[in-house]
Parts: sequence; structure tokens; C-alpha cells
Amino acid sequence: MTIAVLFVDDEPRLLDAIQRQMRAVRFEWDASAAVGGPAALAMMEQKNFDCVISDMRMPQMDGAEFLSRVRTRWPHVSRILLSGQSDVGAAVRAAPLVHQFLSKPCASDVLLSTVAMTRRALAPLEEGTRARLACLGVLPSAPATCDKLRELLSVDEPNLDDVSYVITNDVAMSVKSMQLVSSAFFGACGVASVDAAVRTLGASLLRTLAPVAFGSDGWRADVAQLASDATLEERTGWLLQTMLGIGTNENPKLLARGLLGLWGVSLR
Amino acid sequence: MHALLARQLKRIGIALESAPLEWRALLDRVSQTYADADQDRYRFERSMTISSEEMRELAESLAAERDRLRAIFDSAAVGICNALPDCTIIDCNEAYARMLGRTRADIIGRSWVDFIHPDERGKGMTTAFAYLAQPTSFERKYIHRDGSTVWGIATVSTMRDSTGAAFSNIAVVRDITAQRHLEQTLSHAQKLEAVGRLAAGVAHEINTPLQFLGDNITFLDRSLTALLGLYRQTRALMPAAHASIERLEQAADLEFIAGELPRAIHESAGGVAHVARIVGAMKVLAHHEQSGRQTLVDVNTTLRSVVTIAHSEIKYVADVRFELGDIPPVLAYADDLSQVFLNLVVNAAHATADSVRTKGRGEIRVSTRRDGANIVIEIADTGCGIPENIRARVFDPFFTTKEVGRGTGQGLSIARAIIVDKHHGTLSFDTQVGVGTVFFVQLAVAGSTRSEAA
Repeated sequence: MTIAVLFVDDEPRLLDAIQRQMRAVRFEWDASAAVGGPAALAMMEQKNFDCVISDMRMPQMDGAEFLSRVRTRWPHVSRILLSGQSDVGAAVRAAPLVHQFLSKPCASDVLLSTVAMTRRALAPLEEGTRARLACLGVLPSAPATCDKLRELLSVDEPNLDDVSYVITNDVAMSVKSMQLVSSAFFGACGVASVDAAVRTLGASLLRTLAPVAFGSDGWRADVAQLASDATLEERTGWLLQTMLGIGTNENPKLLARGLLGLWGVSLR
Repeated sequence: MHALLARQLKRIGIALESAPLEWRALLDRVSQTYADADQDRYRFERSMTISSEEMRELAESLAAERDRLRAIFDSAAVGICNALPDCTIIDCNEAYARMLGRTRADIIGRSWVDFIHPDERGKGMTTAFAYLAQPTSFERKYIHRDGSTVWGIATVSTMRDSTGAAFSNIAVVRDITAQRHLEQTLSHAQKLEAVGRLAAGVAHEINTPLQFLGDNITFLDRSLTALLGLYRQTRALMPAAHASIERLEQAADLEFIAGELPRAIHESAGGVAHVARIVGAMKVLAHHEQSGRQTLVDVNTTLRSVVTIAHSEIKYVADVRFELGDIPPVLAYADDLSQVFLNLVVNAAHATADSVRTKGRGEIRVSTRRDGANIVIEIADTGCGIPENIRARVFDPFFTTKEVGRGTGQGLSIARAIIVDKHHGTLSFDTQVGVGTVFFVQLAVAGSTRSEAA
């Protein structure tokens, strides 16, 4: 069974080069390419894809808009950003839409192993669960936590100790912060803790991130309130189990690993 | 009868009682004249006493006034210099002397043109400086005793006596050096910021072509290997045509092509990887969104990026040796820290370049280690060292020994401001002439906010 990947960029020469690269792995990977978002959406109407890898800055329809449409129309498809921008803020704004962030130039083996990782993470889960996890852009936080964070970040020089305390105690915020910091935009430096992730992001990026990626997302407040003496992976598993409801009989550990793998979060 | 007249009469043996009666009226008048003279003398003496008293008081108050004026003159924060029209300084105050790093004795009697920066001497500066109809301001570049430049605004006015005749010029000089330095530092920082923004934009433009260059080169490499393999296999299938194939191969120079093509491809791949590394380093250093705030900085990554960026300054003069320890990220202003490291690394390269002719290729060692709650960064070179007489001044703004165009003299002063003032760390050095210099940067892992709160 081959994995169907769609590359989207406004530079045809880049797509040509990637296609040439993909030829060597044609028995495992079914690669297609589209110049720009509208062409890509048209192609997706015709054919099923497992994963889209899109540029950010494109004329007509930018990467954020394209990926947001993909999320609505084909929620199960993995969404990977391959951006040439060094602007971290742009990546942060796309955070709720994107499973993985890659940065140009990216060696094709890194690219493929990233896609493979997203598929592998979801593999042990049921079909329906996979689609529901892929659909998630953000996890819900308790409204009170969001308010508290907003208040802390509203001052000129926020106290990062307090900010870190709030984020560390919130599963959703912890996971999102770790995802961004483990991404290519931060040199994939692999920070050791949520606290370090908060400090690496810094106050101004957290201000950009908070309104787009930290929210209660319509969930009840009690959902996000979980014991904080457990590991982040355990807490993520419980949160996901609660969100997916009684209907699922998935193991919380597999759920957590599925989402964390899909988002490229490495917990040490 | 006046006592003096009585004595005179007695001396000439005339008793008043026996004096002829007709003398009486005359003697009375003489006596009266004597008394009047006494009176006058008394008045004169008295007035003499009073006026000398007044004179003394007046002199005292004049001296006090003079001292007061002198004190004003000396304690004024602006430099004041009184000069003759031929530029000879007849007096100056302490501020003027201090501005030039000299004593008043050293200045008085000399021409003020001696203290003007050599760059500006003669530039429309006539030695015979005429009297001025009204006070006029000039911006002037002076030279400090230690050779540094002092900027001042001199307002010159002509002093005249009560008849309106001019007798000398007085210049009031405001030292604007600090202000000048600040302006230049700001414009330097703005230039750096603009260059940084530009570099981030350029990096973005380069990334997409880099992606397909890299992919295409990998494709060419793989395809070439496949093609050459295929060719050899095909050739082996045709033993009968061996001789003619060999002739054709020679005509096409196949041996050379088969040897050089993979090398050409590998070298191209290396070149692309090199460009990608530089662009990646620029990306690490261009933290524009986060400037102005402290974030966790991975110092080892920053140092590697800095060395990559400074490669062009280093590659012909020194090898770089990294001794990067296992250090935690530090809370710091990322942009500023990069700038400090870049300044230190480029300085190390320049120091090594200066000694490359005498000592040959040098080494720049970049090392990091943890020291309790701090991390220590060392940037060491095997360059020329810092001569003893200028060690005290290397952190002074605009102090440079580099030729024009190579250094602004701001690198180390900015580094000091960033490390010491902004991060509450330390910046020091250890140097030996002819052996090299080591710069030490010490930073608290927790950043500077906590020490501010304490």
C-alpha cells in the first residue's frame, strides 16, 4: 500500500525536483504535485491523498488558507508545512492548522521520514479515531486558564515564571508549546521541558500563539482539569479519551502517542 | 592763645603779658589761624583714616567678587577659553582643560588651533581669527591628550571695553562627545537592524532554489550511478564489439567523464550544503520577531552560527576549534548576544590576520562551560595580543587600532554594554603580546531579570 502525498508550491522547478526525488521511492510513495492552492484542491477532489506538504507564501491562496480548507474538507489528511520563511511568527500563526513544520531546504529523506512518522503514529488507532485526531488543530484548555494566561501576557514585560507555571499545568498549552519548539523553525533543538519550551518561545511569540492556539474550543471547563502529577503523555491520553467520548475504547497511551507523533512532539 | 603760638613767643623771649598792646589783635588772629589749621589737619587726618578703611573694604569685596567669578568660571560645566585674535590662549577654565585631558598651565599660552583635531585644522580655519561682530557658534572636533576625538560646539564672542574697542575673544565650548557617540551607536544599530531584515529576506529568497538545487543534485547523483552501472552491464553483454566500443569510449573521453562526473556532483552537493548552512545560520541569528525580549538562547548553536557567518573573515587566517560544553540554555536577548559573539569572533580573526605573516595560520578557539549558576564563553585567538598601553582603553567607545573601514571602534564597547549593562554579566580578557588574547563572557543562566528584582 503506497502513501499518497501531494506537494504544493508556487515554484514549478521545486515541484519538478521533488518529483524526480520521489521517483526513487515510487513503490512506497505515490507523489503528486500542484502549482498553487486552487490546483491542489482540484486535484484532491479527484484523488485520495494521505498527506499534503505545502509552502506558506503563495500568490492567490496562501498556505494557511489552503491547509484550513484541507482540514475542513479532508480532515484525515496529514498537513505538513514546508516553508522557506525564516519568520517564526508566520509559523506560529499557522500552528492550529499544521501537524508538522518543516523548513526549506529540507532533505527528501527527512521529509519522507516526517510523513512516515505521522502515519506510523496513527497506525495503531481505528480509522475513525485517526480522522478525529488528524482533524484536531488544538487541544482545549480550561477557560479560566486561558483568561489567566491572557492576563499574564497583557503586561509589558510578562513574568515568564508565572506564564510557565500556567502553561505547564495545562495539557493543551504544554503540548502546543512543545510542538512549536521541536519544529524546524526553532532548529529542532529539542528542549527538555515545557518550562524550557515557554522560555524558548518567549513572551512575544506566546502573545502571537495564545489567541490562535490556546482556547477552550467549546469544551467544558472540567475537561482540561487533570491531575498534574502524571506525565504529560498520560495527561494528553486522558484528555483525548475524554474528548473522543465514551464511544471509543482506544487505549489512552496509544491516543497520546498518536497525537504527539502526528504533531512531531518529542517528549523526553 | 594757641599752645604752638605761646611756645613760639616763649622761644623768642616775649611774654604775652608784656607784649605791646597793638600786637594783641595780630596774635589773636595768628592764634585763630593756628586753631583753624589744627582743625583742618584733624579733619584731613580723619578723612584719610576713613578712606583707607573704605579702600580696604572695597579691595576685600573686589577680591571676593573676583574669586566668585573665578569659581563660576572654573566650576562651569562648559569649557570657557579666552584667546587673543592671534589664537593665543590667555586663560581657560577647568572644564576646558578637562575636556582636552590637560592642565590649565599646559594650555595657557598656546594656540587653540593646537587642540583642534588634525582632520579639521586648516579646513577653512584661519589662524588669524578676527574679532566677531556678534557671537557665533562653530561645531569643532578637538583632540584629547590621549589622541581620542572630542566633539564640541564652541560659541565665540568678542569682549570689548567701555569704548567698544575689542580686546579678546571668549569661546564657550559644550562637549557633545557623549551625545555624538550615542547618535553614532544608534545609527550603527539601525544599520545593523536594516541589514538583518534584508538578510532574513534574502535567506527566504534563497531557500526555495536551495531546496530544488539540493534535490536535483541528489537526483543527478543517483541517476548517474544508475546510468554508469547500466552502461557497464550493457557493455559486458557485447564482448564481440569490445575493440570498437573502446575506440568510441576514448573518442568521447569516457574514462575522464566517468571519473569526474561523480566528483563534480559531490562538490556541487557540498557547495549547496555550505550555502544552506550559511542561510541556516542567518536564520538562527535573525530573531527579529523576538527582539527586545529575553528568551532562552542555546549559546552553543548561536556560536556555531556566528562562526559560519564570520567564515569569510576567518578562513584564510585561522582554523576554528570548538570546545562546546554541556550547558543549559540561558535567558538572554538573543539578537544582542549574537552581536557580541560576532564582534568577538571577528576581532579574533582580525587579530590573527595581523600576525599571520609572522606566525603563520592561527587558531580561534570557541569554548563554553558551566560554572555554577553561570555559563562562561571563551573566545581565544593566537593573534598579536593587545599592547599594554591600550589595554585600559579597549572598551572605550570609538577606540580602535584598526584602519579605516575595518573597524568602527564600537565593537567592544557595544559588547561591554550588552553583556555588563543589559545582561549583568561580565566581559573580560586575558592577553599576552605576540601570543594571543582570550575574551571571557560570563552570563547567568537565569538571565538578568531576577538580579534586577533582587
